[in-house]
Amino acid sequence: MATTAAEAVSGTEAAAAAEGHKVIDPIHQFEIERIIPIRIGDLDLSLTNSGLWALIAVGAVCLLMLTAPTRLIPTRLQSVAESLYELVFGMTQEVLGAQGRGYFPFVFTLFAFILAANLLGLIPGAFTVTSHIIITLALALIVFIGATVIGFIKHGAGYMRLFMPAGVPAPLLPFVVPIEIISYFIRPFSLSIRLFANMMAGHMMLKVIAGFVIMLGVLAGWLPLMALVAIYALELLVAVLQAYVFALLTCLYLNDALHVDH
Amino acid sequence: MVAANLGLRAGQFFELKLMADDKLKDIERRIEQARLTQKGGDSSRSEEGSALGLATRAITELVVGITVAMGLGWLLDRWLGTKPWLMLVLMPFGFAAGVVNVMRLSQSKQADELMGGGKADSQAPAKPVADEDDED
Repeated sequence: MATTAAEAVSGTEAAAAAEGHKVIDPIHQFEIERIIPIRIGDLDLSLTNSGLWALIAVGAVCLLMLTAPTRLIPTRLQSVAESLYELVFGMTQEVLGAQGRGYFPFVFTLFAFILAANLLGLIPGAFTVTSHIIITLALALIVFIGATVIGFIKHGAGYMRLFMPAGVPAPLLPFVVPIEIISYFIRPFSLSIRLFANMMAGHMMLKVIAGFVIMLGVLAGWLPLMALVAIYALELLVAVLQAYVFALLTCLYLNDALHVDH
Repeated sequence: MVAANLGLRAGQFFELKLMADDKLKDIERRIEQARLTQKGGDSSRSEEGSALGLATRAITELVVGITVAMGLGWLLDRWLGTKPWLMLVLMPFGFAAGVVNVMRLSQSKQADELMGGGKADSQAPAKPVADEDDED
């Protein structure tokens, strides 16, 4: 009796899941699929949809930056390339000062890759590379480890002063130092979770509301459709903004590594 | 086209060159004008954008501060066998770290630019930092 009841419950659940699968399945878009299976020993080096779209993002950036014409009166494409360059160059100059020039290529590469991945992910049917935390965490750890290494190279053990703000009375040090250490080590996590959560939440919201359009049909479907257009516009803003924030925070962390003393 | 250009007399040629110069000047003037008129709209749009950016930064600092500190405590507990205690000890530190990061964010150059008229505040960045440490 109990088993049949359990079977019946699981049967209805399966039916509901199958039903849901057809209409709204906001997670499905984040699934990794192998496109070209490659196996070397125990290593799975298959080209996945994520890898493919990462390559497309790199290709799109290279195409934009390398093939944009260099006319005095810029074409549309050229002014896109130039304004991206100027945005990041201005940011590195403003945050890092004259020293920023050396770090500009790194910051620009990060910014351009994230921006391209975010924007390409908004094409219907495309895969959003930055919606997986493993990708954003890897990018953030490159920044974090790089900045830490640069800090120790520039200041030696003096880089530890970052954890001991000047002018703190001695009795408070046991509280302030752990707080500073934790606030330093949460940097890669806040950097990666911000980007990943923004992209994933936005795409799930788009999928769910798109499901509403199908469910409500011709009669009432236009209402969520209008919301969908508005949210899509917001997602475009978020895609650009999160790439900008990631690059800005990279600059700020590098600035901490270069100038500990203030 | 080339043949037609070659066929031009000297007078016509200079006239054309003047016209081209005028055209260039005109474009320069128009670019300058467009830049001036766009300044207002552009900055307000980017302000909205960076307000959203600041907001997402503040939220993640708070959430991630607690989460990472508790996660670290949980891992250390599992390693040392001191089940809930390190997690509980580290949680307030994580919260404090998140709050400190948000306070720093509110004193940053980006926040000052956004709030406008932040010049008076930004004159003494050392003092608020000292205050903040007293509160901890």
